Amino acid sequence: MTRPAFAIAFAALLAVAGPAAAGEGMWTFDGFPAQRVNREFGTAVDQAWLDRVQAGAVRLAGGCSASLVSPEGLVLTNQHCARACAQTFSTPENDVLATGFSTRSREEERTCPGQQAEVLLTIEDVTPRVTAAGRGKTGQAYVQARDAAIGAIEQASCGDDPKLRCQVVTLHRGGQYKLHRFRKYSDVRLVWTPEHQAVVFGGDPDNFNFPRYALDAAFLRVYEDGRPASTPGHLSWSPRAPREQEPVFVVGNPGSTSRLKTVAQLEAERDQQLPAAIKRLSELRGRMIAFADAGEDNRRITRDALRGVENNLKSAVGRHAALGDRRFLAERRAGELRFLERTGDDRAAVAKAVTAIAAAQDAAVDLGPAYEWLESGAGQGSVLWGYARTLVRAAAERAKPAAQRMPEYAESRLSLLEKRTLDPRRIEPALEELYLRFWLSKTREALGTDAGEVQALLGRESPEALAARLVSSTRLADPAFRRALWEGGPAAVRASTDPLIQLAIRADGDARRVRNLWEERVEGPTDRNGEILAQARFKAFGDTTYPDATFSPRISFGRVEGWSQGGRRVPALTRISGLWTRATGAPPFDLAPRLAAARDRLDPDTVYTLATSNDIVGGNSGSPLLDAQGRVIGAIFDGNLPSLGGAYGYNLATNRAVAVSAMAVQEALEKVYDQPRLVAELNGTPRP
Amino acid sequence: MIRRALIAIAAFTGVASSAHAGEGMWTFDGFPAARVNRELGTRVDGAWLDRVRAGSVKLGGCSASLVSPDGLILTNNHCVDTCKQQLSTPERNYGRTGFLTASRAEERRCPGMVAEFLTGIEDVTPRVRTAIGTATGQARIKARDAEIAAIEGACGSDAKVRCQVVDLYRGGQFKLYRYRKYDDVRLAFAPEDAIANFGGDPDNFSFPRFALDAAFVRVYEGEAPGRTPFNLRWNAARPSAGAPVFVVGNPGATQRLQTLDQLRTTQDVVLPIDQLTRSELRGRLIAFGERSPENAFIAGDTLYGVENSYKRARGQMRALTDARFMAGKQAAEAELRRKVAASPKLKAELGDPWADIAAVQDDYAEVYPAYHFLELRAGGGSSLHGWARAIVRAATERAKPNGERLPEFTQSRLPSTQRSVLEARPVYPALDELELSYWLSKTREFLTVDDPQVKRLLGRDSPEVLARRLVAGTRLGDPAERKRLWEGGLAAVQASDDPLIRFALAADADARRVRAAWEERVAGPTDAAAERIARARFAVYGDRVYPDATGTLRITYGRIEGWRQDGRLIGPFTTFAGLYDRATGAPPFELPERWSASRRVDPQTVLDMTLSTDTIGGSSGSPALNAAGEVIGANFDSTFLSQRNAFGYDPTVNRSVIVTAEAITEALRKVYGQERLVAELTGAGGAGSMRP
Repeated sequence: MTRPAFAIAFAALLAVAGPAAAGEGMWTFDGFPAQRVNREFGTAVDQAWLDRVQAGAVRLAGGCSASLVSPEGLVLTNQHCARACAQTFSTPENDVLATGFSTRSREEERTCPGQQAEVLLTIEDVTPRVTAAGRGKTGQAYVQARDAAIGAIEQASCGDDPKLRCQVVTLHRGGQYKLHRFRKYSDVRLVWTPEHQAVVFGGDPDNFNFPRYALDAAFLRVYEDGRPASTPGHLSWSPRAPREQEPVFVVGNPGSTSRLKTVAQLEAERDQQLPAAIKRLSELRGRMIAFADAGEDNRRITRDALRGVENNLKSAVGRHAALGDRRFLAERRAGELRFLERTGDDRAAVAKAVTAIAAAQDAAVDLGPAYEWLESGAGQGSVLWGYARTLVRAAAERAKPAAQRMPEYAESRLSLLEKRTLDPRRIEPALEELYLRFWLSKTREALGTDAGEVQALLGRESPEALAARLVSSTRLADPAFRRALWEGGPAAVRASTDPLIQLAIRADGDARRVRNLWEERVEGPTDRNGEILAQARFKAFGDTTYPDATFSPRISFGRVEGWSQGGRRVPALTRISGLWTRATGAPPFDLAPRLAAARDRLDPDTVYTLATSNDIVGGNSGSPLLDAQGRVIGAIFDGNLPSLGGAYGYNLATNRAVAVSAMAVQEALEKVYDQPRLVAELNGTPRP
Repeated sequence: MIRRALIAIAAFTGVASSAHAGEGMWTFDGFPAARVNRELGTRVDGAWLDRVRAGSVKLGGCSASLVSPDGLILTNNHCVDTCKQQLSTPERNYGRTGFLTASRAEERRCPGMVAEFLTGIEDVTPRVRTAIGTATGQARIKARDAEIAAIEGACGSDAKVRCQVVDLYRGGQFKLYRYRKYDDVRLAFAPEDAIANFGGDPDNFSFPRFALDAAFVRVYEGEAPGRTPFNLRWNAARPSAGAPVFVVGNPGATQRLQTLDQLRTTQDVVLPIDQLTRSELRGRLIAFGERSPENAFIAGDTLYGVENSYKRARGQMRALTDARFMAGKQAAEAELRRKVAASPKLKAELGDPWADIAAVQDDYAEVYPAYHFLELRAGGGSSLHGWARAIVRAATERAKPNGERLPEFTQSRLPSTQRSVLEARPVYPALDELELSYWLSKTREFLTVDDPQVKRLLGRDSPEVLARRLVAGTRLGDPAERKRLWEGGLAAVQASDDPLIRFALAADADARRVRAAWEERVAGPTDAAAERIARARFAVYGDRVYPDATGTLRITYGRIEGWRQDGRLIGPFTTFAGLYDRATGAPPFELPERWSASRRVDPQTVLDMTLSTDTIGGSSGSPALNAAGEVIGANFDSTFLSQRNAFGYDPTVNRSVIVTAEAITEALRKVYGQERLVAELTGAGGAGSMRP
């Protein structure tokens, strides 16, 4: 695996602060450097342009981005963002994920369980209110006061309006708190996906690779009151060939970056968090692969989850390799010292904050395993466990006053949580059992057989026997059963004899205890001191830089362009003809049947995918790729391998986003998947 | 869970000047007897050392001790796991039932197992040094290996003798080790896996521990038990805390003499690849085993090995990311470098070997993935692939003069390679397919799909399809076919249409190319610099330093003692009573029926204990000896924090874990009804005549 060549662009790298390089930055809509971008790119981005683009951009609550592309609520995203939905409609007899999901009329569009689409309306600075709440407090008290203030602001602003979602987003690691108001659509239906193999062509080997030949696009539709929502603010569809070097914009919700973290935090990622994640994901991957090998049905129920595990793993490996470059960390260390030198009178306070954050990372080493296995990663992907924990906690939390609740049970967040818990959803018991076995055995491994927390979980059973018993006898797969517990509150939960509910109750004390410790010794000190550093950065460098990614709407700019790798030029565009060359017939380089059958009909010169120098990260999946006029010419679905180091810094020379072109999507809709109705809707032409 | 906050840095020296009490895996010709006697109040002298050496055994990658005049050898159950597995079938599973014999006639030969006794050590440093001269890179390695082959070859062709030139102090010394070897080793007794490995992976590298990890094998000559001239005495008395103790065995490998830059590469490059690949393989093996009891049986031994290596490496990573531990290493390196810099003579003679090693690290990171996947770990553990590669390479190498061969095919080493290829052993195609397909997929993942080497390896196949085709089509599972190819040499190999032979032939060029690149760009320059660091260390500290472990016979000393962890004192002993308390009935805390049905053993018997001796993987099976040189137990493990032992000994936490002779004797008698073995051990016609 190539190591990201960080050494190249140190000067261009936003270490602790400093001016951003061309292409660099996941900018907020209220902080976009339009003038500079227009100067560099010859574009004409103004407030009206930004408003238009913001109104057409969508956040998908499942962790993706998307765009509105018709006046009747049609949404473009990636197939991999709609895959979990398609998977829930797949059966051994009718494997719609494999064959592609298609509809002949709107009546056939099907609601995706747990999905919600959100369009940003306004951003409001609430920094003074939030920082005032935390002032003078430390540790967990600080975390609770801050979270309570945030919950109150969200609730006050959106109330119980079913069409609105309010979220206070923490920016600059505590430097700013901004209230984001979204228009929300909680009925999101699946409209179309291509054949699965057309999307995952190249499989894990080609993931984060370019040149790439993946038709990673899908369409959803937002509904309101049982009818397609009216969305006049949609973006326009432009299925033309992208051009090398043309300016492009990506609007979406990058999930998380670590660019403003201190060196101690990066070392903790390198030495603790990433190695732990890599080992965990690797073993889970191995279990899933061998499980899938046992039969076609196992393969079918595992493929979506496996793909997710492999994606996360590859991303973690790439980030670990980036941090393994000791020159990179040395440069960051020097950057931290330079920052310290510019802080003037604040120097002592800043140095103290940096030290406190380092101490919090040491505490994280001690608390990390228990926190991960009992709290943040409990269940390891088991949907049933997720239901059990949510039901147990919601019962306890909803009985408390707003200010004392865990933040995920704040009034402003309950409606999405309820939807995700109660929406009917297909459960695969064998996969559930695999997750639970894995979680229980790894928890024992990490915390030790003799730990009280482990004995509370396992009793005298083995992880394998317990997992089997839980999955075979729980009734949580039944939405009516879940609803009864949600509505029945603490009394119903306490009275329940469901073994998974009982396990969640038994585990809750220890999980809360370690979470309290975590907030007191890790999260509290890190966030509190992060605020101090952010303020000092603003003082030293101004507040014109962009914040770390926070899965909130951002816009990034760049060009359609390739890069050089080991002296070799990688061009920006691939064409459909390249797919035929790369196909060997052996998985994962085998062609999807319908796509292969359409070979003669498809224009070989159609631009299939493209690389751009936009600054993106996981969460941007599904983001529209816009041209200078703000028209949709593609959808982001990946980055190249060097972009994985983008978690820590952007490198113009090598970081590339990867998109599937609108041109290829339209070509496939017309010539492979026979979707004239969708093509007409996208292009605003009369329906066939 | 053990935390890192325990290390008293003041008490910890890493590789600095003189070793600590308890520290050091000493060679028999370099044991600091006077100092040890002073510290422990013992009376170790040359005769004592000779006696102990004569009773110590190297058993493949394990250690053992000779405990009767009739060739009876004590080792760990986990050292005969593979043998047990090979003698078993899914229907007659000795892992589940234990391997018990009613008479010697029922003892069964372990395929491929060899027992070796060290009979002499001779210094050949000048010869090897002279041969190396001023060569660099791969030429240096070739010159060294050719001279080693010549020295070993000069030992002659006595089938009972093996000679091995051992590289000590990373090139500082070369010693010729001469062994008397026995290649007919038979299994005499092994307990059930459930008691030998009680607690399974969760308890591995843990203490308190409750495992009866002991087994007996016997060396044979002809059809008679080997009449060995000397054996160690068995002492089944209850051990007492604080008593001096020695562990004698063949610790496999340590990296204590590596520089900080090398350790960083271990941390950033080597361990991440190792741990990632082990984690996924572990997952695959677990899920494969879950499909059926037969699969669980097939994958069991391999899974155990993977989990053991995984946990050990986790402990090593813990040490490398422990700021206090690494500060100790830094201080030690800085001290040596300062002293070299302060001496104009040393400086002129040695230059700056630390800088030379630092300069190699980028190349290391670049070449290592290909070296790891195409050469070092090629085949991913598949024994079918291992045979194919050995047969293909042997055919080429045997045609060359001794001095030009790859070291593993020189005259002196060929017999053991040959035996490992030709010995009959069961093959489980499903496991080979899993291992091969895993290896191919990981190779593609790390070297990337468009790499020309990967394309040559896979052709247009997927890893899964190729693995299935190779395993389904190969006839190498048949020992007769292996013999035919081995004896037929290059002509037979080239004429073979066996898909795995064709595959190994095709893959050999890339594997040799990456091995050459590794030797030229990494191993050669590293060895050259390491040898100068060894000279620096001798010059500054004299011979008060011990060499890194090399899988050869060493002796380490210490006491029976516990340690302090999280402010809590952990005692050195566990008992059978504790075993019964810990048994939940759910695997891996489930007792075998012989144990659960009735409790015949004395509950106060000491089962396992910890020693402050300095051991590491390879030390498994080593006898623990009291001051009189009597066997009081067998080393089988160390604690989780001891895994830092690879990089430095830490007297506050490093502990070896021993199964006691007392517990073994009690179990043989009361649980297994093996009075015959007990009588042999105690040198008595009947039970009860224990010597003090």
